Amino acid sequence: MGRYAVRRSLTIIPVLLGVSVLVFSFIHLIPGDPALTMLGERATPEKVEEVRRHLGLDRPIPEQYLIYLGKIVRGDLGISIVRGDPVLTDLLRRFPATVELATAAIFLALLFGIPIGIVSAVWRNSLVDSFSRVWALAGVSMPIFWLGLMLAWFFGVQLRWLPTGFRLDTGTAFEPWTNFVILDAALQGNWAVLRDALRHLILPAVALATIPLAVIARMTRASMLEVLSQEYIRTAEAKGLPQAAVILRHALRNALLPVLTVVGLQVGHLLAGAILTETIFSWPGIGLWVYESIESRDYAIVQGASLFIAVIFVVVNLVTDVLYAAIDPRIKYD
Amino acid sequence: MARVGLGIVAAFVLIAVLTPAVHRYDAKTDSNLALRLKPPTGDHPFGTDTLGRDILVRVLHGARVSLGLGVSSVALAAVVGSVLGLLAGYVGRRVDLVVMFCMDILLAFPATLLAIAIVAMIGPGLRNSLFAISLVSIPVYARISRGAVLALREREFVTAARGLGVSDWRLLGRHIFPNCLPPLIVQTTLAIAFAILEAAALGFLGLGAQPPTPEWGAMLADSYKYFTSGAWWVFFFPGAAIMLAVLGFNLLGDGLRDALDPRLKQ
Repeated sequence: MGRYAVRRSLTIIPVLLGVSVLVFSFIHLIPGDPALTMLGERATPEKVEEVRRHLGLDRPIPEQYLIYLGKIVRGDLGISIVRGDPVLTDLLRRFPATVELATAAIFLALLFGIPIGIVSAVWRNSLVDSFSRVWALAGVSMPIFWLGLMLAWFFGVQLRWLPTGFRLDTGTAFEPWTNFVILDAALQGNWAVLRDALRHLILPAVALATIPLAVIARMTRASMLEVLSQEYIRTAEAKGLPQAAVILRHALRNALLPVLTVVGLQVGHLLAGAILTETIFSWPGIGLWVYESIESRDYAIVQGASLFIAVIFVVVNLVTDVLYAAIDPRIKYD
Repeated sequence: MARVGLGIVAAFVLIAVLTPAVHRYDAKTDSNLALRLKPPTGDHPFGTDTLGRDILVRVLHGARVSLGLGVSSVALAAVVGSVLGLLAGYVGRRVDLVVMFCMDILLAFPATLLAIAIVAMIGPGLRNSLFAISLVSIPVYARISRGAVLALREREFVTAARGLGVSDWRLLGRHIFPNCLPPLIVQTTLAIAFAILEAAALGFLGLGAQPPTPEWGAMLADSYKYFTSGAWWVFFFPGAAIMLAVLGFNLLGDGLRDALDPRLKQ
């Protein structure tokens, strides 16, 4: 197990280097002169030259890459052209909002996805199964920004039950400690803010949870069906164990293994999906920030955020694989 | 279910082909501010948008743009990805190592994020979206075709053909590739569903088709700021069209997988 974890961890080094090369090359994908594109047509030649020098575009490409690599290793993801702030500082300031949203989404997806998958597999081909399969398929076919809009319109505008934007009501006096608003409100014992924050979280979290929920439900169903057809399950039933014990204690534990991998993969997609969801709900996380930077051609932010999300994606997949091996001792590195 | 999927896909293909033949879309004459944001009526079954344009007409014309983008980006990805995967699997060694390493790099990004980042850099537009969606769809094809080649390479009919002196290219093209097709066909159907969703996401972020092109994602981008006004029809119909088209391809893909690979049928 320890050997596997070490060897699996080593495999991400070349992948991360490759990721850095790809993200570095983003700036060279910009047609024409990147400095001029960033500054716009009215920029003075001196200013363009200054930005070119600042970006290191006046050096040979291999040297540019090595400088870039040196910077990112030291945690320097560049400077925002529009605001002048270091990208990493802004990224870390906004990241808690995205983590809060993604955590709520994955929580909802697991809370509903796994039971739906189990019920679907146990009562296979029943009405519940057909309904949940169609629903799961609809879930993976849904553009989340559209679902977000529909939810915001129906629950926010028509019924006026829930707020449709931001993390708190405007004018709420609250000094967060860590920028995890829900956590901070709970720690400070500020229940009014906690309630407000949770109300703001519901709609974006439901929208973002839809795809992972559908994927987890489908995976749990398929995995449960496979496990339920195995002989040790028949043995457990033959012993006269109650059905609930067979399903929950014997089948589910093994069936959840593949689901774990799917959850790991979904984390990356949640971070990418956050760009769309946060845009709809004006949620001040990294997704909305990336959207705004695309509009203002602040390429350093697009580059920095892409690198950041890709690194998280790679690391989460690594952790998932190692966890999987810890739970299932049959897995070995070959 | 697969039949339902096939029906939906066929309907969208028909709409995409027939609409431009029956009605010529002209963005310049399409707007009518007197009819701004009118709810669905007999004259305008899907209502009108912020510029008074008929949403039904734009949704119908949008089928051509969205399906066209989905199909062409997947076609490009399928050709490039399959060739890379065939070469990696057949030649092996260094070629395999390099090709699959590049694929691993592409897979290290969530696909939507990579597509968004690339188009943000190279600039918005339909052609650039096509390129970005193709690029992020390539690794799946490379992996599938490589896996299929590795499984087929040592089979007797391949050894026999090689023994008869068949050239490498001919062996790949005539003997190995046709046997890789079933999983590739399934993947293509599912990839088109994914590509339509991606294209809509790019359009929604203002990176895909540019106004006034009637593309579903861009239509949502045009209208979403009006949801507080209660004009639900401006975003409901384009979004429903995206979902229905994607659902059709997903159902068809699932059905094809069951038919072509009965082991997976559950």
